[in-house]
Amino acid sequence: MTEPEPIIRCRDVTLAYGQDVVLEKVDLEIAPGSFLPFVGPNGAGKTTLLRAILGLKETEAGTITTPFDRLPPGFVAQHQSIDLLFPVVARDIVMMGLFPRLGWWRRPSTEDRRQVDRLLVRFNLGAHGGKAFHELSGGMRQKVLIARALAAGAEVLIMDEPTAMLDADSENELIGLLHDLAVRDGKTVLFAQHGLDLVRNLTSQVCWVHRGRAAVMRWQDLPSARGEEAAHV
Amino acid sequence: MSESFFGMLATVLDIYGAAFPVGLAIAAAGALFGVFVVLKRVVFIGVTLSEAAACGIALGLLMGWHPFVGALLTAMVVVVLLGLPFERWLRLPRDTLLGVLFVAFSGGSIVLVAKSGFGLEQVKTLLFGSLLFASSQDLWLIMGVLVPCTAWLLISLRPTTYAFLDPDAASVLGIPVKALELAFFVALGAVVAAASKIAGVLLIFCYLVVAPGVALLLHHRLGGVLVIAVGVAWLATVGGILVSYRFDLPPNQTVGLLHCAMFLLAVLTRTGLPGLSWGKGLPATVVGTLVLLGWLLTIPSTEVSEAGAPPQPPACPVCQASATALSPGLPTAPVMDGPAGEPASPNWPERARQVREGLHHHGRAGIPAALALLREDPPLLFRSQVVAALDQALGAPSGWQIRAPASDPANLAVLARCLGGLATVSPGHSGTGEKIGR
Repeated sequence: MTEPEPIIRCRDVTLAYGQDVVLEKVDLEIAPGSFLPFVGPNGAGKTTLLRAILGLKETEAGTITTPFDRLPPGFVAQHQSIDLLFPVVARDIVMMGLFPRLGWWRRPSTEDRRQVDRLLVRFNLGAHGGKAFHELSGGMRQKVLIARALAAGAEVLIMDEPTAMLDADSENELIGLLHDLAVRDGKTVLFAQHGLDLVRNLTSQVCWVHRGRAAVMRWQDLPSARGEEAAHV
Repeated sequence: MSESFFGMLATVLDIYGAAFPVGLAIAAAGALFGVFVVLKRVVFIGVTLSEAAACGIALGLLMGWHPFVGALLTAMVVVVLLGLPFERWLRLPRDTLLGVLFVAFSGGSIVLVAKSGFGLEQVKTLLFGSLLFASSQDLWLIMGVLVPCTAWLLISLRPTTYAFLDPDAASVLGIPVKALELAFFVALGAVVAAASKIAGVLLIFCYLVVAPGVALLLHHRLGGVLVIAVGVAWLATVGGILVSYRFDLPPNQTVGLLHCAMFLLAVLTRTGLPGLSWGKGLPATVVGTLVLLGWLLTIPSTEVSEAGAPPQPPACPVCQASATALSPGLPTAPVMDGPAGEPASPNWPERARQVREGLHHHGRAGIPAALALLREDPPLLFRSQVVAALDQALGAPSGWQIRAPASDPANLAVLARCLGGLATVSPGHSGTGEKIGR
């Protein structure tokens, strides 16, 4: 059985903020349909690497190959990135995902509205579509943002600490939902994650980001699994 | 009620003329831009831009430029400086830079005015503006700036909203976030610069902040907020002008106060009356405002202070001067404030204001007084104001060289032409648009 062609490829990628080099000579190959947590201590460069893959951060050296010029990714930033004072309801946020199709002026068609409603129902938000975004719980907000990413037709979902600030139940629900998207829908799901317990049983591999390096490795090869750096993870 | 509502409205429309719809246009543009200013949490930009524009107007008048040029120049300085990554370079919050600019432009306005010999009244005019003093050139210029800028905001409404709501996600969706942000602030700067001369710092800031604030209290979706913000700005503007007319109050400040009253009503309907839902807060605020306006506009005139009886136009010394000045030769310049009619000081602001009012109210009949004032070579600021009003009364440029003294041959020629024209045309009070033998 042949390996599928990687959907994302990083070659000798170096990332820095001014003179501070965050990651150096990173080589990564990510297969389509991966469910890949990016783990590592605070400040290791998980978010920086994900933003570089998205094209939001320029590389100092090396190349990142993605299909995003023809298939826009879905991006869920840390939920603080959305201004909660904005007068928008959950349905408006999901509708934002249709921007690549609707452009600046086109009005959403009936089918567009139905698609948004279907996504809301899929994430158990059918009754909350008309609620102001700031009135939703943290878990609901994250699900709305994932629905927005799916509305854009994204094949790759990239999330920055999607479970931050959530209670334990919401964390479980959200991680299970992301796993479903990878396993059932074939989406490639990449996300920065602090706690490993939630994802340990769902994937055999992680992307370990630490001390200027990043690599995809199996659980048993993680430094924490060998008793190193356990305190940091 | 000594005058019916519609009679009052007709009189106000007559006094304001084209300035009335232009005032509404400023209100609409300010409120639409203001919604994003408030949501982007850059309210301080609004007041800094207003101050910068006021300083630019003072600079423009001092240098002999059109006031809009000065206002646009200083407003764009603010926009460009804000676009620079000061937070990264200096490790200072953006608000700090805005604070520095605010102090610089506020102080700059006063210093420019002080060094030019302009008076306190003129400072007030610069800072507070007045819809009443809008010339026809002002109105065309304001509309020429407001219309395209507001049209741009509406055309780019969807991507601009997304860029402000969630910049990273918008960028991933292919929205040019940085370019849209820059375009927004450039358009905002142009709107503020254009509106500053007649709306003044206070009213612009009011449209940018208070009207959107009321709308955000009353609706939870952006489309509704935009519509309500414009509605609030219009209601407060029309109501404020009517109240200012009835009680003989300065219009801009009255409009600002009415905005604040609406804000208070909106807060009360949201917090003080918990039984009211989103849907009921809006009608409650509108009804409350209309009741307040109705009460203010229907107080019997005996309850209004004696000085406040509005329908009678004030005695106009320019008019009196003009009435005696239609014989060949120049009249005595009006309004001296020294004892026994002796000129104690030039009092340029007051005299220029009266001349402008005379031209505004009485058209061609105010021209002799304007020429008399110009012949005394007032400071550049007042010279330019009087010449602008004179041009409007003539319906065409007078040809007066504002940077040259009255003794300049070109200006002497204007004096001769105008006086010659006046001598051959019968006097009248409605000659704003009449030509006078140029």
